[in-house]
Amino acid sequence: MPVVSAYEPLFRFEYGGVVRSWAFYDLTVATTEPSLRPARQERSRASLERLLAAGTRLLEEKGYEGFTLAEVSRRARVSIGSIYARVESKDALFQAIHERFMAELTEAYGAFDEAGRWETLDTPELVRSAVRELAAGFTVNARLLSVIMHRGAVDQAVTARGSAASAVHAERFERLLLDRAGEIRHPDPALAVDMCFRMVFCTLARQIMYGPTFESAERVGWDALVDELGDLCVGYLLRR
Amino acid sequence: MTGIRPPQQKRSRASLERVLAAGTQLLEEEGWEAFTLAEVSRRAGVSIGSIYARMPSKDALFRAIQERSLQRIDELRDGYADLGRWRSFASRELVSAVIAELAATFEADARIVSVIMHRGAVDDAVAGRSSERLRALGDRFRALLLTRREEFVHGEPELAADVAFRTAYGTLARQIMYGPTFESPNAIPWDRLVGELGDACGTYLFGV
Repeated sequence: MPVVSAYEPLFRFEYGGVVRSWAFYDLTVATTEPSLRPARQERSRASLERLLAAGTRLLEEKGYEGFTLAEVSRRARVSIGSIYARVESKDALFQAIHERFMAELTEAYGAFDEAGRWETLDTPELVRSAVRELAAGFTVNARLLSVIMHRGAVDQAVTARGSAASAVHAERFERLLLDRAGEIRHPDPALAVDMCFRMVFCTLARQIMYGPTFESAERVGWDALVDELGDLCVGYLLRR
Repeated sequence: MTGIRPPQQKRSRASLERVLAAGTQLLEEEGWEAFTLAEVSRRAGVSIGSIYARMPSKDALFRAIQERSLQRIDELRDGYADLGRWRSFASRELVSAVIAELAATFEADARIVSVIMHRGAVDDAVAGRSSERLRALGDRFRALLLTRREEFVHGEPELAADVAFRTAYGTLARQIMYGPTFESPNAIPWDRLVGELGDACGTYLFGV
């Protein structure tokens, strides 16, 4: 795994006539090193499966702090020796769980590409439904997602993998909305749909990561918030 | 309440100031991993003994640095609360101006805010301190917009004002924390992003 080191200044930032270089993660860090040794036999594949499932449940219940290979071994009923034959460290198992979760999410967001689901909707309803679909990805496993997002704040490999997945999801969401570019009243439809993705993603990601009352003590239910974000995007894109 | 003993003398105040400045710079340049009182001492030209006489740990120094950053949030809040400042704005312009001021506050110390946000993700005490001040900020943001409640096109003004705050704050915060290409590779320049947020929230609250 790449080592998290000092932030790399990636771009210059201009606002109010002041130019400064700004420190950020390098999101291009490759995460190509395989996290796990591949399982060759059916029996090993089954035990690998149990490891990933037990690890996932443990993270959901205890967070990263309670995530140890000893506990995964106990829950999965796979000896610690067999685990170490497959994964180098608990970090490698964590990375594998993240990888698998992102792949699941990407598969779920395949819904954006299913033309039949969308073509009968009028444009405002299509925007609202697309926002709901995007939101649904956050609740597939909100506990796990929250643990991953907190790790992402201190682990660059996690951040880079999350960002790479999000780029794929953004592209699909935006392509779906741009099918109706003719009805988008915003002067720059490509920018406007990208803004919609960011506004929905960021607002919901903060709810998942910090809960519903971090930046505001007002209580807004998840579904209500998602509907409001849908309306916000409809108004912004379609000027209504 | 910053965990730092306040200095009584001018010379001590100056050295505390140097320690805070050096600590901030170290965090901005190297991040939390490299943040040690030994390195702060070296950069500030203040002995490690004098630093410990003033503060018990690097957590206390971090807390004082966070406190300085949160004071900007308090100033922003007070600016929102000063309703006279905003009277001459038309409602749509008001939304854009309020969001632009939020963005300018972030931008003014973006690097240290980014470091603090990353710490907050793994340290509940850090997150809790920020949360408390952000809620107070959100209260004033909403109250300011709700001075125009009769112009809202949204049937539930309180809810709409809260969603506008969450959207504007959340979108800007994530850009500060992860940069402009986390969610999508199509980086939007900061000032454009701020303008679009004002437009989106303005349309949502007040219509076209």
